[in-house]
Amino acid sequence: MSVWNYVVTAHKPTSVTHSCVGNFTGPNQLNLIVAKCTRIEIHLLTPQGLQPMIDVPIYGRIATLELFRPHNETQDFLFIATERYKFCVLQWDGEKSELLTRAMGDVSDRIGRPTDNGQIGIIDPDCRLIGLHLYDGLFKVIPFDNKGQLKEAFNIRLEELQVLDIKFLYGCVKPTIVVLYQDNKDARHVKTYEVALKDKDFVEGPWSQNNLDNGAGLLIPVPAPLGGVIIIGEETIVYCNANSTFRAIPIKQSIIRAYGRVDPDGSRYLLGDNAGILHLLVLTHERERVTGLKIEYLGETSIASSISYLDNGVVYVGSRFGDSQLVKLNLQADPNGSYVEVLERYVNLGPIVDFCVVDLDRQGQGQVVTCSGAFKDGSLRVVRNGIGINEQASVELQGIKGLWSLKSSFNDPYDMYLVVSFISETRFLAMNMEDELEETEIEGFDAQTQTLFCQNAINDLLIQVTANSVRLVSCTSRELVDQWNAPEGFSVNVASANASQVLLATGGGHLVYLEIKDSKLVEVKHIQLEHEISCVDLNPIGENPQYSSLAAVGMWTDISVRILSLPDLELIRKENLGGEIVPRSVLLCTLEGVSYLLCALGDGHLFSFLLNASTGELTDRKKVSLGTQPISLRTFSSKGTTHVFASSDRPTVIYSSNKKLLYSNVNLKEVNHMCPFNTAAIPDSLAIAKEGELSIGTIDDIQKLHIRTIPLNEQARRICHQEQSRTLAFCSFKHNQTSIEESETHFVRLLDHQTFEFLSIYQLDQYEHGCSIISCSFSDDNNVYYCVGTAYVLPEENEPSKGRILVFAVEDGRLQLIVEKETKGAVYSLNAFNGKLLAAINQKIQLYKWMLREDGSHELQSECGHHGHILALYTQTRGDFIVVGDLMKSISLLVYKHEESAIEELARDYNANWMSAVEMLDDEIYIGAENNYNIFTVRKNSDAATDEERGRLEVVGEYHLGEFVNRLRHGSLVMRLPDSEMGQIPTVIFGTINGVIGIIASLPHEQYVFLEKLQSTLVKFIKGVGNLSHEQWRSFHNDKKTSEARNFLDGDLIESFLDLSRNKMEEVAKGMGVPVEELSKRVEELTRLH
Amino acid sequence: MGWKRKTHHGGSCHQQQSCPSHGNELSAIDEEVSHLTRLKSEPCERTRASLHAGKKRHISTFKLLSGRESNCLGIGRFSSADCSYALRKHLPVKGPWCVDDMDSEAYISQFSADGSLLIG
Repeated sequence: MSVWNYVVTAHKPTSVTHSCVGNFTGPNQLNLIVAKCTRIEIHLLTPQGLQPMIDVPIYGRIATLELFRPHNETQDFLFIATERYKFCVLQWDGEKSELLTRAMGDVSDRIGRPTDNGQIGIIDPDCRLIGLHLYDGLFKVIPFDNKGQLKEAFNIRLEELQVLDIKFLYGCVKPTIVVLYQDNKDARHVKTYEVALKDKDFVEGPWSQNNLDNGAGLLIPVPAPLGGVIIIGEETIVYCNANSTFRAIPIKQSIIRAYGRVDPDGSRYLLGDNAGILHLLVLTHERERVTGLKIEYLGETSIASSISYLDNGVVYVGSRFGDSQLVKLNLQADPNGSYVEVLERYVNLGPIVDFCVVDLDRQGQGQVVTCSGAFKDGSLRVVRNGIGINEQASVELQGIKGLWSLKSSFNDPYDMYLVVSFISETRFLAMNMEDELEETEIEGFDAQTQTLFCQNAINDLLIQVTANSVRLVSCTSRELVDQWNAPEGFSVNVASANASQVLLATGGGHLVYLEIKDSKLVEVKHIQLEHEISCVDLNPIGENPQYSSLAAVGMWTDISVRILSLPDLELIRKENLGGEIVPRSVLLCTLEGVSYLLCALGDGHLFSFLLNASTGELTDRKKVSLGTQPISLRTFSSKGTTHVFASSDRPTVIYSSNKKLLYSNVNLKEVNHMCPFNTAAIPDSLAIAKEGELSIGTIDDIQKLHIRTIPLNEQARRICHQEQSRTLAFCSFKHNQTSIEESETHFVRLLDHQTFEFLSIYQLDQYEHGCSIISCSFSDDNNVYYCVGTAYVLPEENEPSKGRILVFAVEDGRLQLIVEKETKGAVYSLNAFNGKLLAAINQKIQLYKWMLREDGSHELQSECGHHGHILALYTQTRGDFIVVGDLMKSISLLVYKHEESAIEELARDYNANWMSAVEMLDDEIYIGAENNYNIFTVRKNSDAATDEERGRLEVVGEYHLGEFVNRLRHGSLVMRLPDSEMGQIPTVIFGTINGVIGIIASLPHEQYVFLEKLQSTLVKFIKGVGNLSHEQWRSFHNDKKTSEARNFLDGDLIESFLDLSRNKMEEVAKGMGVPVEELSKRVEELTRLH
Repeated sequence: MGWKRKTHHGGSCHQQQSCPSHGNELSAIDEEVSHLTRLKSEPCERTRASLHAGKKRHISTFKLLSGRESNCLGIGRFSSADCSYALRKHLPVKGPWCVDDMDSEAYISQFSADGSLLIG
């Protein structure tokens, strides 16, 4: 039963809504602060570029983001207001490197009509007050006192009902606002008001200007001494000020909604329009008097929703419709006439209009292919969890027992030899002059036995450890230089070495420590431990990369890991691991400057400890499960950063991000051994030993989700995967803009599903829009078809009255139109249903069957239908049941009666929810997303006593997601492992207009209850940024009601448990009455859902 | 057969306009009410601009939906005015009409959940 659901973010919002620049983290530090709907990112501008400092969630949708500096302060403060009328003022605590809440409050009013044109939050340049326009006809004032503290807010009535923009003017003795508004005859004007703080009212301002450009929509206040304001229209840009100065300049028709000031004196501005064109607006002036306006084309960027000028011609362009960019404004134009050079791109998946889940390897793990972006910035994005290996070469080899890479000399930057160990022999591969691997020999090595360890050593030596000996071989002559032999009856079981040290473990618990001195192996120390040794490591983690002062040893019998000092092998620390499973691999490593001890057990669990490199102290013990088989740990380097590869039945990369260990699965089934193999031909590659195969390949960037972009330069609207033809098909349109009129051209396009190569295209008619697309087959027909639903959107119609259903076959990689069927409306949704085609057409649900005609061709024939919807926009089917998401009448459940050839309504939800997506979680529980960013679940009441009760879908879950969901689809981003409990949990993926990809997992009730308690405990320990309330944030909220969230859990909050310090973790665990390790394990398992 | 009762339906009350200033006040109020009504029932300027709809050009529900899913509306969702506008086609415009005509007055009410009260 899917009543109890867990909602978690797999990919954070990436659509930029606001950005600003100032000295937030320090008086001399320039920060870029970016708002992405529900998150803020703070970056520091350095000579190397933008450095991320902090990335935090906000319990609210950010409506306003402003930096300001009160009197006598050396740093800026940050004002944030949310769409649900909460606000906070944040400042930076330099000592703790965290955000402090300086003020917070609620500025909602019981009366007043929320403004539709967007909330406005502005701060007086002299920091006398904050102004808010949240309701039509009201201007709210929050005054500052002399010390910069906020005083009680009050409202001033604003005569202008339709406000388009408000800004504070600079250099005014009294706080003065300029209001851009539209009157009841649709003319636009600006007017100024002074805010009389004592009287709590407006006073007529110094000037006004009537009858502006009919498209005027943006005000830009100009700093003193120039002063005044710039008014941005669609065809005109105007400057005016209190001295009756009026300057105007015509512009090519465009909609400009983003600007950034370039100079502190306000003489130059960057303007971004809805076509992604960047212009420079210059106020020409003489001695504090503006003499004219000039506008210059700079180039093309992503369509800007915010522009922040940083420094030295570097500009941040935040976008809602495409990737955000860091661009450099050059003094010289490039051959295309552009002055814009893109320095950096920041991925934005938003808006995700549609997506499909493609399981190429049939392992239950899907790639999500999204229709992302809008207008010219549209694209397809391929989102995949886990790290891919790009195989370059492979050879069949059975029985590999170990892998090591060697350089031809100690200081050589590249590897040359690959040592492959088998049970009774060792073979050597080398890169030849043609950059090919070929078998070779290293004469000084023992090739007739299994190698236990190999290493480059100082003095241009090579080390080989076998069961019987340690051999020292010259790099130049490849001849044996020295040898240490194991005593009779004490063969070496496990070994580790670095550039100058060797540690051996023999039977009987003996540890032998050797050092390389003057090209000789010298036995320095020998001790006997009380138990057998299972694994050893002495990878250097201190300042000397060639000599380690610590060794790690794993033990049989007492199941412990120990830290010993070198050279005297004194015990520093013993850590009992508990349980009965022997550690099989230990690793000392340093990631992002933090030292760790990693210890892997035979059952696939991994312990991690923070390690003090000076003292050997172990702290912050954590345990995760990486698989079910013994793990082998090895460090490797990718793009200059050190990571750890865990080889097992579920290979994993362990990496550090923001000084925190993260785990990402590698998309390989089973890896027995692995070593880095950094060659000139293939830099940063890895050698990987699988069952029966040795392969060499490069590794993807180390991150949780991988996103590949297929640019389209047009907007994709609907997408579908067809496994049988190995293709993807999508509906898209190109926006054509001429100076006279706007128009769109719509297409159906076909792609290869692996290479994403364009295969075929079908252009729709004029005014015809693609609305839906599915892959389906029909009864009595073995073919698989793409079915496309369209609508003819004529300019004068309220609603499309005509559309088509197009049935395509893929033949020789091309779309072939087989059948077209005209419909009396827009085909908003299509589903394959009982061997037939179900279509949602305007207010009707129509079922078509696939009929064979006498001439051997097929046609779609209407069988039955159901009407009574406002607009049936979204449909999902399961067996004979159909769930319909309506424009405003929420969710209804229909059933198809075969015998009667009829579709009847079984039940409906009587709430007036404006739906945006629906899905069936199981046979009885259906989930919907609606217009006010909420999600909810309803249940079919088949067993109810009365018809009325059976006819009502009961609402069983409600939750404020804070995101507008466009699509819900069954699927999983991760491999579903049949032997894991988490693998049995059904999941639905959702995509939103801010680029969020999230997971909704249906939990067993017992697990839900446990996690609900954890969530309520965490709320006490983790304060939201700005002291905003989590409970209020997650409450279901629309125009009619606000109610407590129920039967949904906030996975983002729950999984933030893993980010807590050990001390706080223990406090939370104590509050739960559960051991901290058990709690960590259960939360860690949840992170594997995404 | 009982007496058929005739009911007075009332007539319009015609009130003379007393002075010109009174008329001006009414005109101003009418304009503001008209403006507010349009604000509540037509897409706002941001919506119009984002959908490239001119001043008086009407916007189809299809275009509104397309704009919403593409984050073109600015706030990402339909505002209450957008909702009113989208529904304009779906409100009844023919009617009202007579459902039943009785010779006596009828009361509409229902019993409370436990049946002890008749709620008018």
